[in-house]
Amino acid sequence: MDDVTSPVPRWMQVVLPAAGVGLILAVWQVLAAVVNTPGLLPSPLQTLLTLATWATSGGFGPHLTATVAGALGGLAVGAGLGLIAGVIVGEVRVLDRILYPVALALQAMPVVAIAPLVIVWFGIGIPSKLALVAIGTFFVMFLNTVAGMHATPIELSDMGRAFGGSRWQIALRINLPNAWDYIFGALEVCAALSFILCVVGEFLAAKAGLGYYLRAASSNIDAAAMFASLIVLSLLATTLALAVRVAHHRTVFWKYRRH
Amino acid sequence: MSSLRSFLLKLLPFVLLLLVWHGLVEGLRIPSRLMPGPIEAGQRIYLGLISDGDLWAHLWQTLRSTLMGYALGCVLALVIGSVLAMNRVLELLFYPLILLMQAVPKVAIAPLVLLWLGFDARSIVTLVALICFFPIFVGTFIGVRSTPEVLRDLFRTLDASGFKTFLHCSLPHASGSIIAGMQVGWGFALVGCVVMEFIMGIGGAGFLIDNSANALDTVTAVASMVLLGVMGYLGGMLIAAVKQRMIFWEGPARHG
Repeated sequence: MDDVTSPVPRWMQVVLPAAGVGLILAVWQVLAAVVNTPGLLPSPLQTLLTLATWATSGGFGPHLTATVAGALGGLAVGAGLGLIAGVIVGEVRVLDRILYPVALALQAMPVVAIAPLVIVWFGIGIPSKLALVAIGTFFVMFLNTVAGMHATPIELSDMGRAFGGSRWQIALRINLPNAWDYIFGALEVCAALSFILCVVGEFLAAKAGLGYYLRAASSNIDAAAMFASLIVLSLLATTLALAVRVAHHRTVFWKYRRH
Repeated sequence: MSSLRSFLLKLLPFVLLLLVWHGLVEGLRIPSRLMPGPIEAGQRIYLGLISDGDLWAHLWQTLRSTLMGYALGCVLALVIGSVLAMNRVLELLFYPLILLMQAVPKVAIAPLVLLWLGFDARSIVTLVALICFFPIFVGTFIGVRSTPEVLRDLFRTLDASGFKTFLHCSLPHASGSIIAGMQVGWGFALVGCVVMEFIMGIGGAGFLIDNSANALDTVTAVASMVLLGVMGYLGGMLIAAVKQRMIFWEGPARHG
């Protein structure tokens, strides 16, 4: 965070965010005291206690595993297929002309809208969540892989040709590495999307999962449980996003090298 | 003549999509309670929009809540993004809150919003505003913050007030990035509306999709999905058109 427009003393750059955290907790605590109904708004302490109970009793385990399985499984299938399809379509011009506009148009539709249909197809268990996540992440990964393959500087592929590389050698050894930056960017979007889609699927119909739990807690007027599961969900999503970013910077090391 | 030809070429993929869809449903003999073909879906759309008109009410409800939430989210994001970008102290103070907001998957708080605001259009508008806030906020913040120092210096020598500098210098400079945020936000807004309609179950395109899928009336579900997609697409086109008109200096000409 270097900023030249309005310089702020260095100590303030530490104190102010800390004060911000304090402010959030204070406002939360005061609001909770005013509302005085843990079912509607739990205090920070009550939320922590709920989390602690889950950690010791383990009753929350099945919901956690269901969501993680649906999100990560779907992400692996969707992003994996999207990557493979993207490499092929990125290389074959005819397919690109036909499929890319179709995928672009399909992506304009909010993908969550298909969730009820996916549940009709795959049932209310984990497979439907997995399929929903896979469908949603596929398009993001596919479109970005194609865009990345096409963004290769012409000099590079010319050089590959000059060294006698075959068509697919150039695609896999030159265009694909060049597309890694796009692909990992897409993977970060997919990671966020995977938990969102999985939770929406669980809102609609499920036997377990964070979305299922959130909706049940909403009807039970149990906001403490909702706050706690939102914290768990946020931690999961953030961890996955950070992991993807670390992998991104390691793989595309030539672009993100530290100075 | 050539423009007609390029238009037809653009249309070709969609014709192909319909053919493949039709071929799959017919060839694999998929029962229409699982997946209707394009002809059935088209007939349902015709029935719902023209001869019977039963889909209009739901579509209108979705459009209205989405637009209201989107407008609210845009205004909040513009104001808060600009204020935080212009004021370093406030930015540092609210930095943790922004991080927190970014970490929570916004769709997941739908049941919480429902618990607080009840089975009411207010819940939808609130969730939509929360969801589309973030990309627009980021676009505004980054755009305003990246105003070149030279431009700000110019305004300083002209003795412009802080607000005038913002209005005539930073805001126009940020407009490209703001509209880019609004384009992302529009897609998010529609998602938020549909999800809230899923769990509220009192009307709207999201409710219609869920309800008819549960009744194995997938023809209606697919028809509403297509119409929802058209709504999202048209909204996106509209924002893109506004972008072209308003920010003519950042047109595609620059990229080649």
